[in-house]
Amino acid sequence: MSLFPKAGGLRRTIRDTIRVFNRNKTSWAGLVLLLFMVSLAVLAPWISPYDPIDQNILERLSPASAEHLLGTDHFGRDILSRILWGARISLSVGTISVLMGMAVGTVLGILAGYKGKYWDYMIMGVMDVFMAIPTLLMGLMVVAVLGPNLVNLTIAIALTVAPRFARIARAPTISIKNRDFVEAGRAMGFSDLRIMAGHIFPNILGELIVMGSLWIATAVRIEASLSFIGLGVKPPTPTWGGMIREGFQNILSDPWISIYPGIFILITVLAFNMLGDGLRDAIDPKLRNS
Amino acid sequence: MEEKLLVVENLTTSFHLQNGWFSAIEDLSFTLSSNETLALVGESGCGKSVTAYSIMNLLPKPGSRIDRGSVLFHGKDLVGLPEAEMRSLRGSKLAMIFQEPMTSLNPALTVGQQIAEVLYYHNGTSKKEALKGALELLDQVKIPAAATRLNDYPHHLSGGMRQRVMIAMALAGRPEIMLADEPTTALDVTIQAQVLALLDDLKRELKMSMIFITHDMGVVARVADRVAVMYGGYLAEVAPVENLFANPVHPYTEALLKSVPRLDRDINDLNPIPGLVPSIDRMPKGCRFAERCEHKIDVCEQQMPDLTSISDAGNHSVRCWVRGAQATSNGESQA
Repeated sequence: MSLFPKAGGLRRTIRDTIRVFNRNKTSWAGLVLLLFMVSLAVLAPWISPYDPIDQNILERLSPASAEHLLGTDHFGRDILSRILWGARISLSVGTISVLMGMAVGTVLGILAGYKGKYWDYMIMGVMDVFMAIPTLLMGLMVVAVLGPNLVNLTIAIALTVAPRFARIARAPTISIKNRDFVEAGRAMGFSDLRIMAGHIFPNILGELIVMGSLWIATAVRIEASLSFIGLGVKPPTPTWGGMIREGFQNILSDPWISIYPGIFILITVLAFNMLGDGLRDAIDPKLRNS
Repeated sequence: MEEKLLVVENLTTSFHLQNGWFSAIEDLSFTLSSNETLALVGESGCGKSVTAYSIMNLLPKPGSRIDRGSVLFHGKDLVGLPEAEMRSLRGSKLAMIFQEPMTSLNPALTVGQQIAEVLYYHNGTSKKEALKGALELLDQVKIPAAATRLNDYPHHLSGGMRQRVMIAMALAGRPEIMLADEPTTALDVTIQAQVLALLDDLKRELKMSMIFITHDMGVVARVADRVAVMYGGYLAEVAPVENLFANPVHPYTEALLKSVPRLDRDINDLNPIPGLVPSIDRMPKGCRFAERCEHKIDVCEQQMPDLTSISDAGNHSVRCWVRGAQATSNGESQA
C-alpha cells in the first residue's frame, strides 16, 4: 500500500497534502518565489520599464543605474525588461513542455504497465533508448532536425521528459492492476481503456504531479542551455538562456549582462525544486502519517 | 419443466503450471433456474471460484483456458463469445461480487462515482441521472443516510458497508444472475447475517438468480435453494438444500456437515476432515476423495464414478461408488 498514498481518496489526499505541505517552511518559500516569478512574467507588459527589443546604441553596456536598474546589453537594450519578458518564455516553455511530456509519458507508461507482454517490451524499449540519450543532446538533435524555434524547443524538451514519466507511471500501474478493484471493474464489464483512464490513473496522479514540478525546474534549465548554445528561441526575442549567451561577448568587461538572467534562472529552478520537495514529502505516506 | 436460465455442460478449465496443463474443474455440469439460488460448496482449492470465473470469462490469461464444455445463458454459449459481447453482459446481465470488500473498491473514487459509472456505462444514462440512480441503489442496499454516503470514499466505510456498496454496483446493471464469491467470508458474523438477509431480500425483490459460493454450511442452509458440493474440481453431490442436510449421501458431504462447529457441543468434538484437497497437478486416478474417505473400496482408487441420479424426482445426484449404489438399490429417495 505504501506505494499508493492516494489510498485515502483524492479529496482527503489533497487535504493531507496541504497539511504536511504546511509543516515544511521551504516548500512555502518555493511556492512564494514561484508565484512571484509567475506574476513578474504575467505583468511584464505593464511593469517592464522599456521595450525589451528596443535598441539604444548610445546607452550600450551601461552598468546598473537609476534609468536602467540592471543595466543594458551590447545593443543598449534594458536588461530588466528583457528578463521580465524572458520569464514568459522560460516559464511557459518549461511548463508546457513538461505537461506535454507528462501526458505522453503517462499514457505510454500506463499502457505498458497494464497491457504487459510485448506492449511493455516495445514501449519501454523505445523509452529506454530515449532515456539513454543525454537530455541536452536530445534537445540538440530535435532542434537541429526541426529547426530552432519556440515550438520545436518545447517538443524537444517534452521528448526528453516523456520517458521519465513513462517509468513513473508504469511501476505503480503494474501493482495496481493486480488489485481487487481492477478485477471488480472487469467483472462490471469495464473496458481496458476505462480501467486504465478511470481507475488506475486517479491512483497515480499524485506521484505524477510531484515529478512534474521537479521536472519543470529541469525543463527551465534545458531551455536556458539550448538557448545558450543558440538552438533555442531566435533573437531578438528575449529568453534567459539566450541573454546569457549574448552577454558572453562582453563577459570580461561587463559580466552583469549574463549574471542577472543567471540569477533569475537560479531562483526559478530553486523555487520549483523546493516546491517539488515539499510536495514529495507531503504525499509520502510515511511522513504524512507521522 | 421450468426454463433454465443457465446451463453449464461438461465445463473443463485448466491452468498452466510449470509442468503442463492441469484441470482445476472437470466435466462440471449444472443448471440454474430463474429465481433460484444455487450454492457451490467445498473447501479451499476445490474449484468453486474457478467455476465462477469461467462463467464470467474472467480467467487470467495467459495461464488458464477452458478446454471443453459450454455455458449456455438463455441458450447462448458464453464460452468463446467475443470479448466485446462478453463485456456487455458482465456487470449488466451477469454480475459478480467478491470476497474482499476492503479492496474491491477503488480508493481514489467516491462511492457515488463508482456506482454511477456502472449505470452510465451499461445503461447509457447521463452522469447526472446516474448519480441519482446511485442514490437509489444505496437506498436499496439499505445504507443509512445514503445521500451523504454518496460523496464518501471507500476508506470512510466499514467492511459491511463496502460490501453493500459492492452489491449496489452489482445491482446497477439489473443482473439476471448474481455470482457471489464468498461475499460474507471477510465479514464479522453479525454483519454476515445482515448482508445475507439483504442478498436474500434483493434476490426476491428483483427476481434474480444467484450462484452463491461458500465453504460455510451455515450460510448454505440460510440462502440456498439447491446445493452443489464440489471436490477436487468435480461435482460430488447435487441436491435441494433440505435433502442435502437431511440425507447427505456422498461421504464428503457428510464429512463437511459433521465438521461444522456447533455451539451445543464441546470444541473437542469438532470433526475435521483429515488431509487436504490434492493440488491440481497431483490428482489421484480414481475418485478424488478416495484417500480421505472412510468408506473407500478398491474400485474407488481405480476409476472415477459417474454423477448418478439417486432420487425419483431426479434432483438428487451423487458421484460415489459406495453410496451411490447403495442409495439406488435401497430405493432411498426422500425427495
